[in-house]
Amino acid sequence: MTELLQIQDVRKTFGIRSSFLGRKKDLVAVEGISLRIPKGRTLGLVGESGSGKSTLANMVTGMLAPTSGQVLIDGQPVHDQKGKVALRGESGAQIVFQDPYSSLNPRMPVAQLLAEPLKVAPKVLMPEREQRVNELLDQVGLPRSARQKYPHEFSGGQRQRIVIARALARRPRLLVCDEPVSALDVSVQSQILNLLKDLQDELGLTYLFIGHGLESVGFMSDEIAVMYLGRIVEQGPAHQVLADPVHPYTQALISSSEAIPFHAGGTVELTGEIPSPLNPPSGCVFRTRCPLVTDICAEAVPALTPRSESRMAACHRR
Amino acid sequence: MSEPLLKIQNLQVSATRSSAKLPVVDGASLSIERGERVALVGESGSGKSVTCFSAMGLLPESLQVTDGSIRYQGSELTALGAEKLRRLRGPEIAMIYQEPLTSLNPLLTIGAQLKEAAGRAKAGRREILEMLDRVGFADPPRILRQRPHELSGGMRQRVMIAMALVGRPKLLLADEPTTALDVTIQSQVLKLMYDLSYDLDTAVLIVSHDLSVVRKLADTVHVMYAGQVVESGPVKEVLATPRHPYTQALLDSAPHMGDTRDRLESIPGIVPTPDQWDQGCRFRSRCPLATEQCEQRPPKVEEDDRASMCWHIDRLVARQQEAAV
Amino acid sequence: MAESTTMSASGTGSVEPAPAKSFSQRSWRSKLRRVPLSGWIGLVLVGVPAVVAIFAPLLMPHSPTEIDPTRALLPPIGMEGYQPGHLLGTDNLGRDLLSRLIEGARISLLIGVLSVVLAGSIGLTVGLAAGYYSKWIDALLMRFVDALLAIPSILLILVILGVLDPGMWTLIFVLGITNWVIYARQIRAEVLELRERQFIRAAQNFGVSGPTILLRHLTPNVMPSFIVLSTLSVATVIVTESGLSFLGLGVQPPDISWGLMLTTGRDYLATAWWISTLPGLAITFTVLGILLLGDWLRDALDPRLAVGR
Repeated sequence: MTELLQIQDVRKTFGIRSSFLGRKKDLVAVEGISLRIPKGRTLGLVGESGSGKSTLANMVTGMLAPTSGQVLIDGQPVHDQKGKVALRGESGAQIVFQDPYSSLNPRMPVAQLLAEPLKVAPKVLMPEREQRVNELLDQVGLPRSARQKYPHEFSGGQRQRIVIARALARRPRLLVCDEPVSALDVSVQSQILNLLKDLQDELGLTYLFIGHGLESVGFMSDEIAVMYLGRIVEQGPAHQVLADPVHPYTQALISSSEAIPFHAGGTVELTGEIPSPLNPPSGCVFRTRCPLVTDICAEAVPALTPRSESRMAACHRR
Repeated sequence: MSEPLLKIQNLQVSATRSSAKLPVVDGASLSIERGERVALVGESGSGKSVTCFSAMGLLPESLQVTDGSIRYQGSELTALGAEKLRRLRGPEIAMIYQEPLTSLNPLLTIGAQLKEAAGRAKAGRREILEMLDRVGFADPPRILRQRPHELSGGMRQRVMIAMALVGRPKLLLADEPTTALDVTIQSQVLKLMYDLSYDLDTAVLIVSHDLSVVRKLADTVHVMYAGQVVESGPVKEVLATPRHPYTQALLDSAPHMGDTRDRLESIPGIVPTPDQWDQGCRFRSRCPLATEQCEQRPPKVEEDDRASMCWHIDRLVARQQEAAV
Repeated sequence: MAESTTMSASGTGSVEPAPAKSFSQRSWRSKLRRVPLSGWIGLVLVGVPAVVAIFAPLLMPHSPTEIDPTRALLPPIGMEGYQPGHLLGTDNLGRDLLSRLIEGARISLLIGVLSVVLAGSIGLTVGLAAGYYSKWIDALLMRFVDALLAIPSILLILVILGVLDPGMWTLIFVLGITNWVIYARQIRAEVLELRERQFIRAAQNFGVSGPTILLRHLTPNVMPSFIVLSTLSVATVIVTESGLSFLGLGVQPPDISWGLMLTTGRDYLATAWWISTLPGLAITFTVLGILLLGDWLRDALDPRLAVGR
């Protein structure tokens, strides 16, 4: 199978100045991540806020250039040597954002919103553009009468359909979904998740699906990668990772997603919060919250090593 | 005393817009016993938050209680003046909100804000430090000197909980308290609320759209749809064998751990807006079981401690039994 | 979640709307139908002097500069001593006040509008650029703005007017280049906030160029405050103009502005109050009209308020 997306040992740091004259400090947002997604498949990326998953997404869409390493879509690097975006339109990735309210310009009617990506070089000309807009509305299940309406006239779920339609306008093959349903109501979430699945079947899309909840990511993905503080701690086929997690962090995520009532003995596995990436712990970054921590965890960084044929984990425990 | 701590009966809250009265909550009833944890679930637009806010007497100016009663320990809240209501807040009823950042004043230290909350409840520094310790801060005196921006989202929500509970209120209202937080922090905060409610015998009314939050924390659940409570009962039973098609649909549409389905059930269409509400069942346009009968006001069917408003409970039950086989 | 807002926003989508008319037709008709009373009042208060200013030569009963000492200080209609032909009376030199008000409207409005156009376009450009582009462009522009703000604008005006010859065009120039800083500051602040919104990021992601984002996405979204600022400053500019004319630094005779008329009449307040009161009223009503108009325009340009509710 051919890989559509290849992320090769990507690292991203931001220079942060703590005070006006203070010395610059490197914040490591993403540390040496490698991932690949075969054509037509979905990779789910799970992590809490601060795990670096959005930074990674931004490097895939080209919004951020990696400090080192590179991102390839269909073998083509997303950024050129100077860090400028090299892939646009159908060859690049498009993104579906989390918040359907702020991702649509409130002063543009739907037809204009959907046509906008088509006005960027190589331009799609007028009659064809109109046709494409109608096609997009059909694809995401909105009536054509939506063309003249403004974003505020739609519910959250319908807005997210508009956002998806706009992302599809240039016929990209890779779609980055950055928590596309977490701002929506439960009953609408399932509509959008189903829509994304249908579109994938219909158009042969490849998804990088980002979420902080394991339920929806597990439902959508063929493969899952779990991120913590800029690193991948576990990776493997979705059903295997969810059924039999190796890394204590994945185990904790799963147990906090499982709704066992507290009065029936439901517990909280993880204490504390994700440490600041400005001051990451030595050794294993998860050790400050890990229930299974031992001495070696503070000394050596555990490498992401194969655990079985298709699975990897970064933990000192064997 | 057999009177429940809070009893909301047939509550109607309306938006008054240029002489027209549009109900937002339309005949909601629920009651909370001392120390009980009750959840209100529903989608946005269901009226769940408004119901919660009216128990606090904190409705925005555009909304008014137009019918029904809210009784707190036997006294009618809708009849109380603003000043008396204000005095109830804090020592008797406290509230925490969804967004812990905007709920705290960015310019004041945590200590100053806690003192303000404690002052009304006549709690001193000792109680404040004790409460901060209880909500899980390792070094309470240091937290007192910090300001909201120095804390993470989870820590801020802990501070909010400490502020709400420092006066040992009998009722804690929580409006989507964990929605803005990460999964692992969510369960920390919920566990904290559960433990405190248990230890201090505080009743909790939690508003959420998330069934897993409800399952973890609550004893009793009321499911709201389009301004009405369509189903209520013990959480365990309601979520295992719903007696309303809407509850069933909510359960089916959420992906769960180890989901092997290829598609999720989804509820077609969207929640009807108040101007589309009528006497009949409001879920009928989206309901797989709907018949012509549903155009008439659905009966309230009560059985032991469960209740629901539906014409077709028998068919729903039959379906569940079929699916179980 | 704020139930009331999500609810009102959610309903319309499910209902099939009537087949759409072309966008511009629909919006203009619906916008006109929704003009509130205050909007109409504003339209009239601004429209009358504007029309009068445009057709000034046709409307003036006399030459505004024609001096006739025998007809000095005649009162307006309805007062004792009124003489037909001079509807609003005459000033100390016997010039017809109605004609002078009409001619004054031209210059006063021209100064008000043109200097605001000048200030607004500089301010909008600088504000957009500073807010959207890199940090050092922002720093450079904003330090310059700060420097300008540090100098009292009246001082700056006096200095410039000391160098240049006073007159209408000088005044427009001076008021324009001293007023743009407020626009720049306000617009920049809004752009900084808007820039973080995801629809800007989405546009960048499609490869939409910087200038296009500025024009198509940012400009419409800063328009509400731009309009409010503009109407407020048309008003202040008209008032400043009268102040400067009062000091002899504004419009120079034989040109006429309302501000200048206000000044010439002050010696006669006790005996012939109408000479300065009438232009005063003209200024008051026009400014009020502009403010009302701006208020309505801001709402009308917001799609969230223009349709439905």
